[in-house]
Amino acid sequence: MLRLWPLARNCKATKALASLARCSSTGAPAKVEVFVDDKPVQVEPGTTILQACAEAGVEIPRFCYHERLSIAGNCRMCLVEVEKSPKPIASCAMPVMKGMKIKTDSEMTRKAREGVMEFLLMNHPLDCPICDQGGECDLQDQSMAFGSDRSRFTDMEHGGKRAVEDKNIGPLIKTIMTRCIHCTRCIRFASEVAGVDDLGTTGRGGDMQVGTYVEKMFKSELSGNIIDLCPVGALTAKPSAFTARPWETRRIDSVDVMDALGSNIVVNTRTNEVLRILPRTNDAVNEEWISDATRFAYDGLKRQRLTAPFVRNAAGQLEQTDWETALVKVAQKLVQVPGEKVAGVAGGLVDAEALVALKDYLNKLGSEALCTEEIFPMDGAGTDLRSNYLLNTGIQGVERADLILLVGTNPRFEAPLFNARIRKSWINNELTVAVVGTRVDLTYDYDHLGDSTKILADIAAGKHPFAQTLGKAKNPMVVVGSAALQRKDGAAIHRAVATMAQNARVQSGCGDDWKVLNVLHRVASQVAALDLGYKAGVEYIRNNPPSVLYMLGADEGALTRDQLPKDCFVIYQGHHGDRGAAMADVILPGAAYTEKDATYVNTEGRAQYTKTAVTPPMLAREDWKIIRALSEMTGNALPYDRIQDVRDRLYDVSPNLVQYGAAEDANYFKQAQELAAGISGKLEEKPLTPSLLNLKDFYMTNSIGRASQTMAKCVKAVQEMP
Amino acid sequence: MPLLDLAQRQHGWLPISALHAVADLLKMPKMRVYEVATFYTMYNREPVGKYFIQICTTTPCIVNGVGCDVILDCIQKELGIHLGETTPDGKFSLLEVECLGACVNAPMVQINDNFYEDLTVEDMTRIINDLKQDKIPKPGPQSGQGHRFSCEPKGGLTCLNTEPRGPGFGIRADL
Amino acid sequence: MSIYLQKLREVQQLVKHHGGLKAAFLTLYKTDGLKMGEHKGTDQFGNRYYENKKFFIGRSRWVEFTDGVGVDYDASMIPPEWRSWLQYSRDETPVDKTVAPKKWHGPHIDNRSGMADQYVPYSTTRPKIQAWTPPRQ
Repeated sequence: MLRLWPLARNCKATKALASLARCSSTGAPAKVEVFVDDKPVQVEPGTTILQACAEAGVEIPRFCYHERLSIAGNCRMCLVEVEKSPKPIASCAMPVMKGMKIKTDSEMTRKAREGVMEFLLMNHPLDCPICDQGGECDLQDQSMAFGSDRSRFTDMEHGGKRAVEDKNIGPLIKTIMTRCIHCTRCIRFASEVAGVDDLGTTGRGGDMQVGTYVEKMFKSELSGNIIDLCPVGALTAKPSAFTARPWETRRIDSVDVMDALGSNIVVNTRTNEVLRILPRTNDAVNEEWISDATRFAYDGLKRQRLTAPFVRNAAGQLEQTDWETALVKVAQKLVQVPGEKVAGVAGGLVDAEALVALKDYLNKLGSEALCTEEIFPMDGAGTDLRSNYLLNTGIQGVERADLILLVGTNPRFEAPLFNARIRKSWINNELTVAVVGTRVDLTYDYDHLGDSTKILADIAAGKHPFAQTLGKAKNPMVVVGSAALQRKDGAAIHRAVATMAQNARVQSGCGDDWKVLNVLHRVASQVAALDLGYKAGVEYIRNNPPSVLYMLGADEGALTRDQLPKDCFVIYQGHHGDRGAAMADVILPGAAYTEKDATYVNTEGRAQYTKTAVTPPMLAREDWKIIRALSEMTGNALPYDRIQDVRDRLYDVSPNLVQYGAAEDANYFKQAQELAAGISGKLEEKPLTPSLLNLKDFYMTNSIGRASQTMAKCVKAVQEMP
Repeated sequence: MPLLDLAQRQHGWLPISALHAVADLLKMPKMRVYEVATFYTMYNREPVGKYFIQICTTTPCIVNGVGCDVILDCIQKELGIHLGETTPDGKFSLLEVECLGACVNAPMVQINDNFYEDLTVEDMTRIINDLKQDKIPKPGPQSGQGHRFSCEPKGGLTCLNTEPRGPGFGIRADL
Repeated sequence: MSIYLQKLREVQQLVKHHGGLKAAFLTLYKTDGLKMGEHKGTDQFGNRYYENKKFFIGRSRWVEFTDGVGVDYDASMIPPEWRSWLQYSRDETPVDKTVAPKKWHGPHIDNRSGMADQYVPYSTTRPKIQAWTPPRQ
């Protein structure tokens, strides 16, 4: 099967088809009445038969059709009988017509399905017992439901079944191409969603193969999704190969923390072990995709873990101990030093409960030195106004935007699904993208305005030609990466971006509901920490050297031992032995995101929660409980005993933190602008460079990724494979 | 596709680097070029000889004239190669193909861009011997089955063999 | 009447056999029964073995565990050579006919399950979590 994928952007036909499929036709034309099994249904014109049937509550079997991909129509499984049509019709590709009488359970339909199934199984190996897809295989299910009860396949003497060589497309995806039924979902995903045209069909007829033709890695940050898309066992996950059957696993809904988007995931566990992570559909955040770091970094949760408390002994070595010894040691130290000499630093993977517990505790001790590792400019309105540090437009807002300016960010690796959203919008909605920053491959075309900060000042001042473009756009978005704000002149960059956003907002007349300024964070904890009143960046601690430093999962090395006073007592609480643990005097083992009920707020300000999928390993405990226990030992117990009490406290501090699923928006741009007028910082000459430039940087962005062998393999493969 | 054909004419076949060059020229993903090149069997993705003999073995070529299996045997004997092989000196390649659309003049072979039709064993031997000396024989119907032009009937014309009648033929005299 | 007298005599003999009223009650408490039989031997642990062919097979041989164990006795305290006699695998007691020890025979150890020195096989499952080891300085 040969299919040429023209650049969808230039091809009106594809676009028309796509809009048919997504039935996003504008206006409200009269509905069409069709009959599904004699049941009348009113559907919009342009709907396909398959969708009309779905509306009537009849599910048509399918392999190649997928809601979020273009229509291929090559598996033929969705054949249905339509009255007055001599042949069965492929329902996924056929638009409805007025008065169509669709028969989804007629003799002809059933025979057609049985025939198609027989053809598919003719070249499909009967190796279900050794196939990883067994139990969640569309082909298996549908052959049970619609296939024949016996085989007529007797061609053993001649050709036998087709056999196809397996391909090596990287360390994540295992291919058993003999099982492939040529639905081309993976190819369509690669070229439409991932924007990496590495997969295709080669050959023709019986020799057709899906693959890369040349030995090549499927180099995409979203590559794992083709495993979910594959309706058979041709593409399966290499890291979790042969570990468990799907019916043996427990599935727990959770939220990802690998980036700041908070993709919705399902954690599959068995015998207290995370076996794999799958995406969960949430149109507001991740649709139904997740990035490879989200999907495959889970083996980092099993390595380099802190499973017991450690205390540094007289010889300067960290020694394993029990909770009592460790907590007593910490408590003694905390009682000795004055409260204002205690400081706290929160890392990127910390949940809101632990953040609020630590803040309350240190405040009780009399300290205000609570910082996050990620820097955010605190000048002007700083973090006081939420709209200053949120992705205000929302991820879904991208689909309404017609112009996006990316400043100093590489969303492809900082937030892969945000980038996928931009690409989707770029294909379907005539979105224009412009970039200020280092030139990177974003999988779509963009106007590169340069990488100098001067351009920002020019646009803000209206001198740059792009300022007019921005003003003319109906729904413009300006997205600034948090990497750009890490710089010394972060405040000035923020002010320049905020100014241009505000100008664009006024000029474009998009109204008060449409927000232009967006900040794209890179770590999961940042928004919650800022909501709770943490100071962004560790500058404050550097200026006021503490006697006791409480590091809550701070692993990115923002503070090193050299920057602290010699006698500073460092407590590290976290789940991985990484940079933070290595410099600590006492280590308190905490729980990772799959091991606790915890709240995370994503970059758009959407509060979501994880659920306990497995128990924390050995002596490790949930983070807020550790702080609660410690507070009791020092004699100023925190007033919460249950997770619900902590969440009540979160509600008191900032109600949006417990309004799960909802993104509480903020709209204080004018006020922020007034406050920002006082910022004195100047833009520096240094070019704007995002932190993650290449695919190899993408895999190891936090302590879990660094501990993961799969991620290490990915980095190696990206460097070595063509 | 014309570009791929051009590349093939330049090299005699299509190496992967040629596919890449075409992809770069058209600013297309490489995979899309691979797809086209692998789909069409007339793009040779492996080196072929200077004279690429494609012999038709579809039904009309089997039953007509001396039959293509005889011709095939002849070629194999002359060149000492089998189907799908190339002579050691790289001069000839032999490939079995499906109908090339010259059924009237069956049996036939295509050598590079030329059709040699109405073949007999003697014709085939002569053609190969000519090609061995790098002489290109006259394409079209060969002598074996009675000389004819293109696909005219073998036994001479059965119709249209008189002068065309002028205007007014067969019309009533009074008109 | 004579039956009762005979029973009484038997009880007297039993009590005497077990060494007085107190010892007899102790044995009754420990073994839930009083039986009289020929003392066939004592093993290295001090367990005494008896036989009385008046009882049918299955009950005709028994053991009285050594005094030190009280009620805390266990069938695995019987060494294998006595066990084979006790369970009618052999007719001769180890006293009648000693069993030549093979060179692979080890000393007899009773079942230590549930005790501190119980046998624990090494684990064949891989650890699910690999813990961090702090870097040495």
